[in-house]
Amino acid sequence: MEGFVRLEHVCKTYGSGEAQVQALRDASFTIDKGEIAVIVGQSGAGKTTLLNILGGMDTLTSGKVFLEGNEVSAYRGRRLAQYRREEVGFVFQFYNLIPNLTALENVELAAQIIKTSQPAAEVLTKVGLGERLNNFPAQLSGGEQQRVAIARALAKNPKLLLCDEPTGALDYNTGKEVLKLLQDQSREQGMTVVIITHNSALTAMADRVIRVRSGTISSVKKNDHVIPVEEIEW
Amino acid sequence: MVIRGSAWGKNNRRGLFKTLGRFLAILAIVALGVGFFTGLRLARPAMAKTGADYLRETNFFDFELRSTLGFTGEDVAYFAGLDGIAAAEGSLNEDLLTTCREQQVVFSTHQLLDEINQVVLSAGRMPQAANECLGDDRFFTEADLGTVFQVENDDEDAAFSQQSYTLVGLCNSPQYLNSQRGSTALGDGSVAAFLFLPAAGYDAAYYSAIYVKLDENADAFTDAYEARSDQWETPLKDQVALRGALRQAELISDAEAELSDGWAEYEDGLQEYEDGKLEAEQELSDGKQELSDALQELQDGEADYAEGVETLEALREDPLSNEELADARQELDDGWAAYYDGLREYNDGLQEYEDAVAENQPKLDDAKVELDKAKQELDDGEAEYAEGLETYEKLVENPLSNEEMAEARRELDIGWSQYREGLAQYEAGLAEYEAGKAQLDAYGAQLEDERTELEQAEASGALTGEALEAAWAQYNSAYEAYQTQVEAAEAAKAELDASKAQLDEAYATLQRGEAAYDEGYQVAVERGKEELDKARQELDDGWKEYNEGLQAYNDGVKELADAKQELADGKQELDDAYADLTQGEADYKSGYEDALAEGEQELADARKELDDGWAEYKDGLKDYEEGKLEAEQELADAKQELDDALVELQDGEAELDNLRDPSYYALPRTTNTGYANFDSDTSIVEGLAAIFPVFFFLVAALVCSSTMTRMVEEQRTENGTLKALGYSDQKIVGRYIFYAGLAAVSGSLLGFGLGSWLFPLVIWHAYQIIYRFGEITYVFDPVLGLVSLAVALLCSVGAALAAAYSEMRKMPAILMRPKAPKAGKRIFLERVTVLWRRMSFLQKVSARNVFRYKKRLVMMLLGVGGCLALLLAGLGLRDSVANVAEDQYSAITLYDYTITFDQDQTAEQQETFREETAQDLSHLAFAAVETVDVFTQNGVSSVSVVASDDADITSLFGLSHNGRSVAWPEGDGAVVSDKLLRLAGISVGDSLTVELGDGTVVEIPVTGVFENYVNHYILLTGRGFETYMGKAPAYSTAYASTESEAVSAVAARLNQRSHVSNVSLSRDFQNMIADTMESLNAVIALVVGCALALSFVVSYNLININITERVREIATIKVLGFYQWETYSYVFREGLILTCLGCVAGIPVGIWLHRFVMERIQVDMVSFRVRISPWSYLLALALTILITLVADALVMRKIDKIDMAESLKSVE
Repeated sequence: MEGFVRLEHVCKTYGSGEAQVQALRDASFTIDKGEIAVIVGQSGAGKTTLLNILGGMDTLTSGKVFLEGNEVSAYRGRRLAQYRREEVGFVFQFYNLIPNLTALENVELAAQIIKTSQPAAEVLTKVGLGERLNNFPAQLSGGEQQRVAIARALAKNPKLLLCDEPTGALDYNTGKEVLKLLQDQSREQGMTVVIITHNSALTAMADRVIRVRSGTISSVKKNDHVIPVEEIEW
Repeated sequence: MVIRGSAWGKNNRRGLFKTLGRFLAILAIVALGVGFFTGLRLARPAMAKTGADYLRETNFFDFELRSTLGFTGEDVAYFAGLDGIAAAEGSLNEDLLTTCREQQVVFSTHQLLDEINQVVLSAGRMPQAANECLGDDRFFTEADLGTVFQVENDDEDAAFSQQSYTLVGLCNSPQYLNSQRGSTALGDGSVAAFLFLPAAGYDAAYYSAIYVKLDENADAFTDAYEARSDQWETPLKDQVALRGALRQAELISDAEAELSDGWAEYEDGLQEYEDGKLEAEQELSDGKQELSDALQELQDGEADYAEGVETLEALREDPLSNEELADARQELDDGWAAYYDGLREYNDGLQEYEDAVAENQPKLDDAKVELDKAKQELDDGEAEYAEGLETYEKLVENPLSNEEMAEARRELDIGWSQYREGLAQYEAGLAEYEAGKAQLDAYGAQLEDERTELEQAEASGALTGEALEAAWAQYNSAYEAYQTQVEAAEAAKAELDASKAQLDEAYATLQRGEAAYDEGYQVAVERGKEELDKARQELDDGWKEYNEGLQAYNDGVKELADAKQELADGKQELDDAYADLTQGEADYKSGYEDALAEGEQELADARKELDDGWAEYKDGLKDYEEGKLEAEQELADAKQELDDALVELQDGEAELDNLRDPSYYALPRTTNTGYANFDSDTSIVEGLAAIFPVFFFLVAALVCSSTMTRMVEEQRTENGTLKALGYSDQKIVGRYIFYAGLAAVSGSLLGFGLGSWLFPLVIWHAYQIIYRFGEITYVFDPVLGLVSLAVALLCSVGAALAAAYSEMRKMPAILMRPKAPKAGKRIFLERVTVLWRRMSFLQKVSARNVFRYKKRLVMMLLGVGGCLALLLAGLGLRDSVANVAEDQYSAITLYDYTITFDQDQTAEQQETFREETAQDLSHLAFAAVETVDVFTQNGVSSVSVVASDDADITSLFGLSHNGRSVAWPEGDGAVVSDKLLRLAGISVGDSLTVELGDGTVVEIPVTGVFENYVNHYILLTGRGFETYMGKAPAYSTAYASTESEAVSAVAARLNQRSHVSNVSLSRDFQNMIADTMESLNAVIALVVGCALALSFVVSYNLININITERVREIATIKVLGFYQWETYSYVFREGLILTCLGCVAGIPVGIWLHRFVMERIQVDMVSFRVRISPWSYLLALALTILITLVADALVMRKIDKIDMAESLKSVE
């Protein structure tokens, strides 16, 4: 099987005994390099579990996950931390900036632990925050904070950028701007971006749409008519 | 009303369990604070109560009355009958010298009383018979029961009724609270243990003490008790004196009469003894003289004989022992030696000669040949020379003798002859020329004439035509011939001139040749002379050399010949000597045999004579010995009798002195060592209780407050929701009050219980090293408990209320929205850009966090700093206290003994004592010692005035101040111990206000100060004593030191000297103080333990709060890929920075606290050196940091457990 990102029969079960919950069942799909993939589904469908697994934040019960042919699902402990550190970038719904650090410092926090990082100020300028380097998160708007978060992820030069409801906490326009930024990144840098959302409208911007329903992958479709973000409405 | 089992209640209960850690933290810190507070507060009362209970149960005396006159039964009854006195009992006590465990020991025995000073039986049974006793349960074990102690006291007056006592039981006594057993005048001066004997065990006319119990009294170790005791002291003493005076006169007159009879009898006996002794001695000495003369004579004879035998033996063994023979032998040996020396010398000479011949003969022969050759050469030279001389002389005579010269002459001569020949030729040529010339000239004239004729002929036409022409032709031809002849003549003339020039030149050359010839001759002569002279010189040198060589050769030959002659002479001499020596040997042998025979005869005669003499002497001696023994025995018996009588009389005199000048005492309990020590030892703990707990409360308050605030903040949304649901503010706040209150109340109860129980228990346990009476009696102080509870509630509930109400004032809608996280802020440090830029990223984050939460900063500083301060103070306490004994007794109290005399020692007595003890004592100084009261800022202190003029005193008191040594005072000066000055609040140059024993108050100007840790001193000279004390110094005390290892044995010897009433060992005091300090260790350990617990609770709680508050942040950095240790350091760095800051802040506080505590616990008589050793600093820092690290380690698991998924959750 080909694919930059590849999941094979992934199962994830939480808890044990009677309280056992199967969050994912036999999930298999691939994402090609440079694609924007949107994983869409209702709350509780298993999106976040997928994200956790892809992001190396959680282990699976069975199955395999590959990135660039390496079996991520076999990583444990330090190797897993290294995977998170060097191979994945993460954009959170609630930005998760360190309140005590300025925008620049927040990016530096991620950049300084990687050898091949991009200069923090440069990345921030690229996401349009060249003027606000020294502001604390509390002094930034939601959209700006999310940009900082994206800059933080991008600064690491990740192979895979994972975004968890990146627009979830943002208003419509700001959300669009952020999505545009992600799309541009993918197009310009050839970066593989996985966006997780419950908003089906976003599927229009995706190269590949993966639908999740009650722990199973209900469909994986290649989108041949990618629409620029500006034109998407929801 | 909250319904049981309602959702509300459930929520609250679940909340509590969910935050159990937090709940327990509050509970723990409250428990710690309260426990520490009550524990330290109650330790001293509990101990005092334990002591007081014990003393009450055992009915410990209030006063011990003593009089040197003793007490009668009537006296006892009198005191028992006094108003306010509940009971009075007469008691006997006597020190028992006996052997126990194979050592001689002294036991202090006391009488078992009916009511007062009851012993507590710990094993065995009470004595029933007179010869049974109870023993000290610290010294004896149950295995010792049944041991029999023989009375070994020398003193026949000892008050024991039995010869021995059997140990039937073990007990402890209120009279011996601690391990001190006191000192004694017997044995080695120290008391090993006490014994209690039944009244029947004693046999004495008088009681040695009366123990008095007052009607009613306050508990022991209280101020009230001391006040009442002080009230009674003087009246009781007066009563003792009153009773004594009643009996004194009667006692004295009885004693005097008895004594004077005794003395008279003694004098008579002594006279009789002396007379008899003199007589017997004279007789004996005469007999002895005679015997000794005889003995001397015999011994001389024996010595002579022995000498003779020895001489003969020696002669036999070795003839050389005879002087004559020895001389002869010596002479012979010398002769032989000389002979052999000569022979050796001769042989050496011969060898030398032969060597010389071998070596020199060829050389001489060679020399001879060379000499002959030289001679020959010289002779040849002479011949050559003579020849040269001859040649020379010839040359001088005739130069032509020289061949060269002759050749030159010849050449010259040839030149000359050639020249002359040339000259002759020239002259001949010239003459010829001149002759030709004259002819020509004549021809010329003829021609002229012809011409003229022709011309005239012509002119005259004499001749014409052909004739003329023929005439002219003839003439012309004649003229032409003439012209040719003239030219030839002229050429000849030129030739002649040329040869003339040549001749002249040849002449010149010849002339020069002549000159050269002459010169050459001159040179040849000179050179010949020179050559000859040189040859002469050479020849003369050659001759000289030759003659010298010849001389040397002749000398060599002669030398060898002489040597040969000498050797021949020596040989002759040696042969003569050998003959003489052989003769000498023969003479010597015969002489030796004669001498032996003569000696043997002489000795046999002498032996006979001596044997007779000895027999006679032995008979005489036997008679004398018998007589002497008899006389001596008689005398010794008499002397013993007299000495016994004298001792008895002297004792009587001493007793009489006592009777004349009796001392009366009414001693309160406080003079009992055990009681006094217990009092001061337990008060040390009280000092600690003053300040330490304050810290705990302060920190507890902060911990509660920040924890509660945090809790309220965390549950903000929930509270908003509840409020929106219609729950009242009070009800919501009530949750927190309940939560905090429950923690505070249970913590207080726990702490109060633990503190009241554990602290006294542990401290008591430590003190039981010294005080071993029963178990601790716990004291519960409800007021203290309520106060602690109130403070605890105030801290926790108060903080909860404050936090909750400030939140509740807000509208539910606001509350339900998540509180904006505390915004990041620039901190002051960032303005210091130089520093800030250098900090790493994580350091910046930590720095911001540290300063973001001010309350936590303070809490951590207080907790960690407080912990460090407590540790420092506790460890410093140990440093300061532990070495007091060591400091005092190794540097200041240099004396080993304090010797008390029964009276003022005169200068002669002092001198005698000094001389007689010089063997044992390395230093000794007599001093007048007086106890006075000094008015200080806190009241009155008891001070020892020591006056001495002995130079040795400086070797016994080590006086120094601030590292410089201080001199003993001079004149009216007074040197004072530093603590006393401090207490009095004055300095050198000021005056001390002193109250003397008789109530007089005097001012003593202080001229110097010295460091001292135990007791107070005013040091004076004898003169100063007289000036200030208003009386002459009584030198009844001496300080002494020894170099002996057996310190106790020396003490015992000193004790047995007359007039010595007591010897106390400094070592005993040192041990006592050291014991006290030992018990302090446990107290310090307790403080250290609590400090560590405090620090732990604070650190753990703070880190915990930190983590719960930042779960999201930590989850995020985990997602960012921080490794485990990077995450830890991200979280812990802050705590570590705070710990370090806390340490920095804690050090000065610790130093201050230590000083404060030291001030508080300073016992009046003891001054501590306030110091903290570097090790204590290090240990305190290490422990503090360790505690933080331990707390961190415990939290690590919590960090590991944080789920990264937390980062995805919405903000709360």
